[in-house]
Amino acid sequence: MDKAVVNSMRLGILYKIYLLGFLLLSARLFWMQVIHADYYKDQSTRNRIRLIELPAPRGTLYDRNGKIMVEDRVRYNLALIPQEVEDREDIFKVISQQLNIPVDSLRQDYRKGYRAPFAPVLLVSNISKEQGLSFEEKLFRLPGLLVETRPIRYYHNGQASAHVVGYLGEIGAEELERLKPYGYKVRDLVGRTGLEKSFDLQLRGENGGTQIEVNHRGRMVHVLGHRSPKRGKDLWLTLDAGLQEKASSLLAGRRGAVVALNPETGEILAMTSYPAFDPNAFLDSKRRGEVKEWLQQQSSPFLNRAFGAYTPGSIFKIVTASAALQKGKINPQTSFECEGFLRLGTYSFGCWNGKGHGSENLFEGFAHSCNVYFFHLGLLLGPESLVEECQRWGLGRGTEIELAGEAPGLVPNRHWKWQVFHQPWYDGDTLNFAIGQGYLLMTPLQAARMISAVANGGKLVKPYLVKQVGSVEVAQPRSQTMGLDQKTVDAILEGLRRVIDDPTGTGQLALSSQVSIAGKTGTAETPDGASHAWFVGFAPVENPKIAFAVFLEHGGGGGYAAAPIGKQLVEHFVGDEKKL
Amino acid sequence: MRKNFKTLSSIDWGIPLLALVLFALGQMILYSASFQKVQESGVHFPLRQIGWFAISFIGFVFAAIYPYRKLVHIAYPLYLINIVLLLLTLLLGLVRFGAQRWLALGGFIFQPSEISKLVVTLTLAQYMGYNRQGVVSFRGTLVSMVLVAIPLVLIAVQPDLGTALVLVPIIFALFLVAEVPSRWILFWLLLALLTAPLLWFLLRDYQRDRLVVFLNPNVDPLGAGYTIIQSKIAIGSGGFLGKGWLSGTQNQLNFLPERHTDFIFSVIGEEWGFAGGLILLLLYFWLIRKLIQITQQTHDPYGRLLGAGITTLIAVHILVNIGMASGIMPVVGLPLPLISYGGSNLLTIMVGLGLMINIKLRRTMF
Repeated sequence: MDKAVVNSMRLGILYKIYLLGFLLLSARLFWMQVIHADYYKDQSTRNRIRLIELPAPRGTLYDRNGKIMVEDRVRYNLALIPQEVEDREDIFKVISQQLNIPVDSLRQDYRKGYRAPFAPVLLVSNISKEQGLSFEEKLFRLPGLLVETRPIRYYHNGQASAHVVGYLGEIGAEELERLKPYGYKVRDLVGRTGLEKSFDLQLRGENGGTQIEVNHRGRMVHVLGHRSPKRGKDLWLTLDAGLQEKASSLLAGRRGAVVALNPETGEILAMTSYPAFDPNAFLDSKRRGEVKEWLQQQSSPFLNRAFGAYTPGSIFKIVTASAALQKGKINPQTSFECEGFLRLGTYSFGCWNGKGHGSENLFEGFAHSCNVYFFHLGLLLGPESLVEECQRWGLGRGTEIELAGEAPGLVPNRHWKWQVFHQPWYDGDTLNFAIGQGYLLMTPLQAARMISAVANGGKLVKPYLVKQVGSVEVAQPRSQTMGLDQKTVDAILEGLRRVIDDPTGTGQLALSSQVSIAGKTGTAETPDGASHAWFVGFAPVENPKIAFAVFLEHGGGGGYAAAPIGKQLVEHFVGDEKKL
Repeated sequence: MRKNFKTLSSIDWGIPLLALVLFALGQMILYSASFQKVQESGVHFPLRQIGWFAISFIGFVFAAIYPYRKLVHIAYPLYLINIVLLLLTLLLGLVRFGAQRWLALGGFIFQPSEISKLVVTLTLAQYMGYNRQGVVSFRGTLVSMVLVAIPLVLIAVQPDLGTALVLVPIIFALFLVAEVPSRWILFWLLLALLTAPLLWFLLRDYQRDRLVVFLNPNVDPLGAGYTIIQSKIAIGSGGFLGKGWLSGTQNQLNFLPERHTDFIFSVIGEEWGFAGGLILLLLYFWLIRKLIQITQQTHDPYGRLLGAGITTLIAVHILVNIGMASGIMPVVGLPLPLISYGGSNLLTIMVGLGLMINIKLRRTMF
């Protein structure tokens, strides 16, 4: 081939390579600037626009008297904005002198907390308002220092209301996925249990923010917009903070729960469980150790025992008596002989008093909590009637309280027993059923509702905690008539009065000089330790204002351990009422 | 000879005109890109660059007039001087930004590696032009390769990978023009491709980072990948017509590092959009086309070799620089000809363009 042609061809190759390069670049630019321009525009906007969140305070929780139980308080923090700082050591020195913190630990906190030049590094959290103001005055000569004010949840009643109120924690990944449509974001604090959880959506406010334009170092160039945070809605509760505290202090050192209701309306006056935790600890990084300890404790402080299902023992005799009276199996004067036991086939079923109570009528049967008396009622009724009566008294199902975690309890029957144990129902099961032993399980909340029904003359109330959300009333007292004859109610009421008033009554330790109390003790035998102690009651007998259930897990005898707690609770309540 | 020397009227005025237009556009974008920096540092980058342009223009005129063959014939001594300067740079050079690329001579700071681009081209033109018969043999290509390899290694260890790698396309362009048989070209091409992975072990950490982030910038979005990510955002967000001169948020809010030097195309893309970028590419392509034509039309083998070398030098700068800013090439630090701030490169490019005009003027002399 001619040399010149070859040469020309070869230069042509070079030319084509460059042409290809230019075409490739043009295509690349077309791809980025025409096809994907929106994506990059969005990126560029995000680059320069930052949102500084202004956290919205959560709603306040008020008790029935308008006393604050839970609120957001302002916390003052000292923080450092790295890029604004001129002399870091000088700032450390001033803080160290003022707050008596070693400079070394400040340096360490700074190093650990540093994320980006524009992101404030938290140095000291929760300083007093006075200290905050004093630093505020010094800011102009300490560039880069920042006194942050942040809302922080404060639980006034601490452990006393821990289970009812609940606590806050950072939102989990799964929860976030579910709640995103409601405006929840990563790192949001949400209610973990209790009212904080059930009413999270109402309590949480709407965070505000300031939108700013920043340069590459995150320094603000302009303010683009501002939206003030919207405070969450307040909750007005049925609880009595003072009673709540009292109930908690009465339980101190034991395991158990106290539930107190207004028997007419179902308003929950107090609901406390022990051992408990302090909800404030979850918001304080220094108290993480405590939280961990609670999580590991055998006594399960996080368990709300008011919602737990336990063997009720003799407090169930109220239901057994009601069934027998309603079915006309007995009248209050019907007597049975107690020899200390009841023989059934080859088995002997004992009364708690081995010596026997002798001949007892219904009132004496209640007062002495005579098992044999109620064995007879059980045999007269049979399990089906007992089950029916349980339904009337709201057992075996939840109370529909606003909080999650309530156990439904358990009302056994033939079918259930066959399904679970593959065994037939024996008469012995009926005997146990009649005195609240065996398979039957009840929650302290159900027990409080049960006793309320005696106090209010035969109405099953719906217990509730929240009266008002923001300015909207959300709850009206709701109750349903149980269809009890007045005679039945009167007879039970008389029996329960004697439990306390009779000098031989099992509940005599609940006898008060200040107020008339009626009630029933319960000592539920458990397969795994000491008996559960129960005491349910109401006061004043003539015009009941409070009905309550005291439950002590493995707490011993109901009359001995639980009754005095009921009495002190009532006396506190009545004393408060008088003051008002 | 004088009668063969064409009058001024036969000069290809298109080349200086294109250079001037590109430089003017560059000045505008440099003004925008350095707007903040000027206020902060008080150094007026656009004015300085005009000063550099004046100096470069003198170089351009000299290169256009002085018989380029004489320049080619003294290529070997120039080559030796260049090697000495590169060695001196390694021994005594100034360290800036972690690289030892600068040499101070009597208060004048310059980059010997920048000079190498032209000197190596001249040297190859001299060698291949003089050994027209020999260069088509394997031995001839080997010697050419060694001639390139020595300065390449010296520059690569400074380290200045971009400049070092520019020398590679130049030698292949010259192979093409020198009519080296295709088999030898393919052989060396293959060898280059095979040895490229070995280079990995010679790279400094930051260079490896750059390669890694080229493959995936998100590996290190605030470190090595930052520049690529921000540059792509700037170009892409410019859209079709751009955000307008002095209005690029990526530029004016300082998100783009190196935007007045190696990454100046990001500012063009952001403020002038696809339209502006395309016009710029067309102008550049027009220039390259003219340079190819000159190379094609000359009868002088030396001129042909030199022309192919210089054309490649300029084209590679353009393609690699814009490719790097738009994220399809690794970051190797080559400036955008006639636009990026910096004197040494402007001088190199202007001298190169002067030589091209020179080649055209003398195309029928031989």
